[in-house]
Amino acid sequence: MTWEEARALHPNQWLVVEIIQSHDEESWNILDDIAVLEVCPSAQVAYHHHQRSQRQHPQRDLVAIHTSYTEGRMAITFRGVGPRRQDGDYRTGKLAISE
Amino acid sequence: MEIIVQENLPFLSEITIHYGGQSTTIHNVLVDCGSAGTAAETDFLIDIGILEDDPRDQWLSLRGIGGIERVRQKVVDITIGGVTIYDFPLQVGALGYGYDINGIVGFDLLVATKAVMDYGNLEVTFAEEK
Repeated sequence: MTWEEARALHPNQWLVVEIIQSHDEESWNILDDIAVLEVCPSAQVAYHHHQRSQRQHPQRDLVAIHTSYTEGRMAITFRGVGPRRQDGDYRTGKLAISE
Repeated sequence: MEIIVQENLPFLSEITIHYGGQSTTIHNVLVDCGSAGTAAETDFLIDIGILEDDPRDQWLSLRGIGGIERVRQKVVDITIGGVTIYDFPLQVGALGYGYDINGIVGFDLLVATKAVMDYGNLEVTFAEEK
Protein backbone atom coordinates (compact mmCIF):
# COMPACT_ATOMS: atom_id res chain seq x y z
CA MET A 1 0.00 0.00 0.00
CA THR A 2 1.01 3.64 -0.10
CA TRP A 3 2.00 5.61 2.99
CA GLU A 4 -1.14 7.67 2.47
CA GLU A 5 -3.26 4.51 2.68
CA ALA A 6 -1.42 3.35 5.80
CA ARG A 7 -2.05 6.72 7.44
CA ALA A 8 -5.75 6.55 6.60
CA LEU A 9 -6.01 3.03 8.06
CA HIS A 10 -4.01 3.83 11.22
CA PRO A 11 -4.47 7.47 12.18
CA ASN A 12 -2.30 8.78 15.02
CA GLN A 13 -0.46 5.48 15.53
CA TRP A 14 3.05 4.20 15.86
CA LEU A 15 3.79 1.54 13.28
CA VAL A 16 6.58 -0.78 12.29
CA VAL A 17 6.64 -0.56 8.51
CA GLU A 18 8.53 -2.37 5.80
CA ILE A 19 9.40 -0.39 2.70
CA ILE A 20 8.83 -2.89 -0.09
CA GLN A 21 9.72 -0.50 -2.88
CA SER A 22 11.09 3.02 -3.03
CA HIS A 23 13.00 5.14 -5.49
CA ASP A 24 15.11 8.29 -5.40
CA GLU A 25 14.16 11.57 -6.99
CA GLU A 26 16.82 14.22 -6.53
CA SER A 27 17.30 14.57 -2.78
CA TRP A 28 14.23 12.51 -1.84
CA ASN A 29 13.54 8.82 -1.39
CA ILE A 30 9.94 8.26 -2.51
CA LEU A 31 8.02 5.44 -0.79
CA ASP A 32 6.20 3.54 -3.54
CA ASP A 33 4.98 0.46 -1.70
CA ILE A 34 4.99 -0.27 2.01
CA ALA A 35 3.60 -2.92 4.34
CA VAL A 36 2.42 -2.31 7.88
CA LEU A 37 4.00 -5.06 9.98
CA GLU A 38 2.82 -3.92 13.39
CA VAL A 39 0.57 -1.34 14.99
CA CYS A 40 2.16 -0.32 18.30
CA PRO A 41 0.69 1.28 21.42
CA SER A 42 3.67 3.59 21.99
CA ALA A 43 6.89 4.88 20.50
CA GLN A 44 8.87 2.73 22.92
CA VAL A 45 7.17 -0.44 21.71
CA ALA A 46 7.57 0.56 18.07
CA TYR A 47 11.30 1.30 18.52
CA HIS A 48 11.82 -1.92 20.43
CA HIS A 49 10.01 -4.09 17.91
CA HIS A 50 11.70 -2.36 15.00
CA GLN A 51 15.13 -2.95 16.50
CA ARG A 52 14.38 -6.61 17.13
CA SER A 53 12.96 -7.19 13.63
CA GLN A 54 15.80 -5.32 11.95
CA ARG A 55 18.36 -7.45 13.80
CA GLN A 56 16.56 -10.59 12.70
CA HIS A 57 16.24 -9.39 9.12
CA PRO A 58 19.15 -7.05 8.39
CA GLN A 59 18.39 -7.02 4.65
CA ARG A 60 14.84 -5.74 5.03
CA ASP A 61 14.09 -2.03 4.89
CA LEU A 62 12.22 -1.45 8.16
CA VAL A 63 11.31 1.66 10.11
CA ALA A 64 9.42 2.66 13.25
CA ILE A 65 7.29 5.60 12.23
CA HIS A 66 4.28 7.61 13.40
CA THR A 67 1.38 8.25 11.04
CA SER A 68 1.42 11.96 11.83
CA TYR A 69 4.27 12.07 9.31
CA THR A 70 2.47 13.44 6.29
CA GLU A 71 5.06 12.91 3.59
CA GLY A 72 5.25 9.79 1.50
CA ARG A 73 8.92 10.49 1.02
CA MET A 74 12.08 10.87 3.10
CA ALA A 75 14.94 13.32 2.61
CA ILE A 76 18.21 11.62 1.71
CA THR A 77 21.15 12.29 4.00
CA PHE A 78 24.66 10.88 4.24
CA ARG A 79 26.72 9.57 7.11
CA GLY A 80 30.01 9.22 5.29
CA VAL A 81 31.67 5.88 5.68
CA GLY A 82 31.05 5.69 9.40
CA PRO A 83 33.82 5.95 11.97
CA ARG A 84 36.79 3.79 11.01
CA ARG A 85 38.72 3.27 14.19
CA GLN A 86 42.10 1.64 14.19
CA ASP A 87 44.82 0.62 16.60
CA GLY A 88 48.21 2.28 16.95
CA ASP A 89 49.17 5.88 17.52
CA TYR A 90 47.25 8.56 15.65
CA ARG A 91 50.32 10.82 15.97
CA THR A 92 52.35 9.58 13.04
CA GLY A 93 54.38 10.79 10.06
CA LYS A 94 57.01 13.52 9.91
CA LEU A 95 55.99 17.09 9.27
CA ALA A 96 58.16 19.36 7.10
CA ILE A 97 57.09 22.93 6.43
CA SER A 98 57.92 24.26 2.97
CA GLU A 99 59.65 27.61 2.63
CA MET B 1 36.80 22.62 24.24
CA GLU B 2 39.23 19.74 24.31
CA ILE B 3 39.25 17.14 21.54
CA ILE B 4 39.61 13.81 23.28
CA VAL B 5 41.19 11.05 21.20
CA GLN B 6 39.71 7.61 21.80
CA GLU B 7 40.27 4.65 19.53
CA ASN B 8 42.26 7.16 17.47
CA LEU B 9 39.11 9.11 16.74
CA PRO B 10 38.16 12.66 17.81
CA PHE B 11 35.56 12.94 20.55
CA LEU B 12 34.02 15.74 22.59
CA SER B 13 33.32 15.10 26.26
CA GLU B 14 29.74 16.35 26.15
CA ILE B 15 26.89 18.01 24.36
CA THR B 16 23.57 18.96 25.95
CA ILE B 17 20.26 18.35 24.23
CA HIS B 18 17.24 20.47 25.16
CA TYR B 19 13.77 19.25 24.23
CA GLY B 20 10.29 20.10 25.49
CA GLY B 21 11.66 22.18 28.36
CA GLN B 22 13.96 19.40 29.55
CA SER B 23 17.66 18.83 29.07
CA THR B 24 20.13 16.01 29.15
CA THR B 25 23.86 15.78 28.61
CA ILE B 26 25.42 13.16 26.36
CA HIS B 27 29.04 12.14 26.75
CA ASN B 28 31.48 10.61 24.28
CA VAL B 29 30.36 12.31 21.12
CA LEU B 30 32.28 11.72 17.92
CA VAL B 31 33.22 14.68 15.73
CA ASP B 32 32.57 13.52 12.18
CA CYS B 33 32.57 16.02 9.33
CA GLY B 34 31.89 13.03 7.05
CA SER B 35 28.42 12.83 8.54
CA ALA B 36 26.03 15.33 6.99
CA GLY B 37 23.83 15.35 10.06
CA THR B 38 24.14 15.30 13.83
CA ALA B 39 22.90 12.25 15.68
CA ALA B 40 22.35 10.88 19.16
CA GLU B 41 21.63 7.48 20.63
CA THR B 42 17.95 7.31 21.57
CA ASP B 43 18.55 5.60 24.92
CA PHE B 44 20.05 8.77 26.39
CA LEU B 45 17.12 10.92 25.30
CA ILE B 46 14.13 8.90 26.47
CA ASP B 47 14.08 10.70 29.84
CA ILE B 48 13.49 14.07 28.18
CA GLY B 49 10.57 12.72 26.18
CA ILE B 50 12.34 12.54 22.83
CA LEU B 51 10.23 9.59 21.72
CA GLU B 52 7.01 11.58 21.89
CA ASP B 53 5.33 12.37 18.64
CA ASP B 54 6.00 15.88 17.37
CA PRO B 55 4.61 17.48 14.19
CA ARG B 56 8.14 18.73 13.43
CA ASP B 57 9.48 15.16 13.22
CA GLN B 58 10.90 14.02 9.91
CA TRP B 59 12.08 10.66 8.71
CA LEU B 60 15.22 10.46 6.63
CA SER B 61 16.74 7.95 4.27
CA LEU B 62 20.26 7.60 5.63
CA ARG B 63 23.00 6.46 3.26
CA GLY B 64 26.44 5.17 4.11
CA ILE B 65 28.75 2.25 3.59
CA GLY B 66 26.41 0.08 5.62
CA GLY B 67 23.67 0.62 3.05
CA ILE B 68 20.33 2.31 3.51
CA GLU B 69 18.74 2.96 6.87
CA ARG B 70 15.74 4.98 8.00
CA VAL B 71 16.22 7.47 10.78
CA ARG B 72 13.97 9.84 12.68
CA GLN B 73 14.88 13.48 12.90
CA LYS B 74 13.72 15.69 15.76
CA VAL B 75 13.99 19.44 16.16
CA VAL B 76 15.90 20.27 19.38
CA ASP B 77 18.21 22.85 20.89
CA ILE B 78 21.84 21.87 21.42
CA THR B 79 24.46 23.34 23.74
CA ILE B 80 28.06 22.61 22.84
CA GLY B 81 31.13 24.28 24.28
CA GLY B 82 29.16 27.20 25.75
CA VAL B 83 27.21 27.88 22.55
CA THR B 84 23.54 27.04 22.13
CA ILE B 85 21.95 26.52 18.76
CA TYR B 86 18.15 26.55 18.55
CA ASP B 87 15.71 24.61 16.37
CA PHE B 88 18.37 22.24 15.16
CA PRO B 89 17.75 18.89 13.43
CA LEU B 90 18.93 15.89 15.44
CA GLN B 91 18.79 12.35 14.12
CA VAL B 92 17.74 9.95 16.87
CA GLY B 93 18.10 6.22 16.69
CA ALA B 94 20.27 3.30 17.59
CA LEU B 95 23.71 4.26 16.27
CA GLY B 96 24.76 0.64 16.53
CA TYR B 97 28.51 1.07 16.15
CA GLY B 98 29.06 -1.56 18.80
CA TYR B 99 31.33 0.64 20.85
CA ASP B 100 31.15 3.73 22.94
CA ILE B 101 29.85 6.41 20.54
CA ASN B 102 26.79 8.03 22.06
CA GLY B 103 26.37 10.75 19.49
CA ILE B 104 27.81 12.30 16.35
CA VAL B 105 28.57 15.98 15.86
CA GLY B 106 28.08 16.19 12.11
CA PHE B 107 29.04 18.70 9.48
CA ASP B 108 25.79 20.64 9.96
CA LEU B 109 26.46 21.35 13.66
CA LEU B 110 30.11 22.22 13.02
CA VAL B 111 28.99 24.80 10.46
CA ALA B 112 26.09 26.11 12.56
CA THR B 113 28.33 26.67 15.59
CA LYS B 114 31.18 28.06 13.45
CA ALA B 115 33.50 25.43 14.86
CA VAL B 116 37.22 25.90 14.42
CA MET B 117 39.18 22.68 14.81
CA ASP B 118 42.72 23.14 16.05
CA TYR B 119 44.32 19.76 15.48
CA GLY B 120 47.73 20.99 16.59
CA ASN B 121 46.43 21.66 20.07
CA LEU B 122 43.55 19.19 19.94
CA GLU B 123 41.03 21.89 20.68
CA VAL B 124 37.83 23.07 19.09
CA THR B 125 36.33 26.53 19.55
CA PHE B 126 32.79 27.55 18.74
CA ALA B 127 31.23 30.82 17.65
CA GLU B 128 31.07 32.69 20.92
CA GLU B 129 34.21 31.31 22.52
CA LYS B 130 37.33 33.41 22.45
